Amino acid sequence: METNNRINVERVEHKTSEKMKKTNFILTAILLICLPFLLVKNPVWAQKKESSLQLSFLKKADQSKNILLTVKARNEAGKFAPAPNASLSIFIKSNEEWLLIKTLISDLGGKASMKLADDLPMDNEKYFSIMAKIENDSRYEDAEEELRVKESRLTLLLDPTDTNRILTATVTQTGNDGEPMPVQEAEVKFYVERLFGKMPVGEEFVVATDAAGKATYALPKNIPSSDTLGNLTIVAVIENNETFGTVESNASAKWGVPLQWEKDPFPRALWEPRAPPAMILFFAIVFGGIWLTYFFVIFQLIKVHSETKIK
Amino acid sequence: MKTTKTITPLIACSLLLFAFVHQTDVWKAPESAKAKKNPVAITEASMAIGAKLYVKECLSCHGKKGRGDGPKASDIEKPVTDLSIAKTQAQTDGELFWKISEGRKPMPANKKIFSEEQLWQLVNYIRSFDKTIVKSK
Ligand code: HEC
Repeated sequence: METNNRINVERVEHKTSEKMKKTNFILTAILLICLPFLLVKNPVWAQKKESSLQLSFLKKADQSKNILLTVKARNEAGKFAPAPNASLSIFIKSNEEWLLIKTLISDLGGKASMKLADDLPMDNEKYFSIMAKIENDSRYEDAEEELRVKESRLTLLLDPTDTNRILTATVTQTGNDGEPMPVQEAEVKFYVERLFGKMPVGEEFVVATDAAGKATYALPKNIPSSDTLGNLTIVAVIENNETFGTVESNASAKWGVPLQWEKDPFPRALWEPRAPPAMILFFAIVFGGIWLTYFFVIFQLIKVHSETKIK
Repeated sequence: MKTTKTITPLIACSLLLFAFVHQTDVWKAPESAKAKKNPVAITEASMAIGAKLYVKECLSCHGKKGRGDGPKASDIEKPVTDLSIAKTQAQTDGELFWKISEGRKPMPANKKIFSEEQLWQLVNYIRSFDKTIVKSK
């Protein structure tokens, strides 16, 4: 008995060691196959990714000054793709020195933005300078981007009594005397605001400002409004101007074609509380049929029952 | 013995795969194109035109500073070439002229959109991306 047992144990041990050898061998093979990829294709886990920063200035219609940042990094395929969770430091130049004003983290789309203070330190040409940096990020290489812009003011005027429906945008900047000064040759784009984004008002919706800083556009009369009152919101934008960045403005007037509602505000439909007649008929027949079957069966049962009683 | 028998094809396969993954088909301009001389001088005016053309037609892929980080770059099937690196900048004006003219999928051909002068202006503008120059400034 005892010897027999020992032999059995030895056999089992022998078997397991052979099994281990096999798995070891497979593991080594897998490692060998993977090794060249791991070594030569840039080791993704260890290396910081090459990054790129884009910085732009946006003055919104509410006159707030904002900066928008886009961070990208080179991915495994060698393409620059949005880089989430990058830590960004934002600086402003004041008396020739860069002051840190905020740190931001890029979102999933690699974007970040912030509102700037109303009074920014300017150089003697009335420009202000912003710098964004990626510094000591664990995942991305260092990068920096500078922006030097001047503040401008864009106003959009719609005269509701004007039958020609002229859109007038005026662009000014602050002159040396502190007074507004017209900006010439700025390209203003005119859009109609829609639920999802904005649509150009028509062809040639880009108009350069004249010597008085004015750009005008005659609004076509057939633009549909998104409400029954005929309201239209017009957006005027200077996009990515070298000196002024992006500047937006908007205004509304009842210059659209009012939206016509259908006569019946609650039409019968599958998705409405009131069903279409055909559907009511259909279900009436189906359910009616089922109940009729029950009644028929009960009727038959009663009949059978009474017949047996007689006999 | 058995081990080497199994491992040899495995290694061969992995090497083949490796070669496949790392293959790079270099984009070469013909010799005649390489030698072509650039007739457009670098002046402020011509550079300004080049910059305008670039922003309009090339920035979406190649990015503001030519690094291949434009807004469309991540949606394109191939990495967009970094125009600021030595590998691009070491090429002759003629070579770049030829590449911009002819294009290679997904990079579009531009010879029908632009005049020869405009293409040379673009070449001149691309020279301003040179990293080594920017650094020594
Ligand atoms: C649709 C995106 C796209 C646009 C637009 C585009 N390119 Fe390209 N470009 C590429 C891609 C991708 C490559 C790499 C092509 C390859 O190697 O097969 C490339 C390559 C190049 C090269 C060759 C670089 C080298 O070292 O071989 C030059 C020069 C170039 N582009 C210039 C331009 C210019 C100038 C414009 C504007 C007129 C432009 N590109 C517009 C995507 C684009």
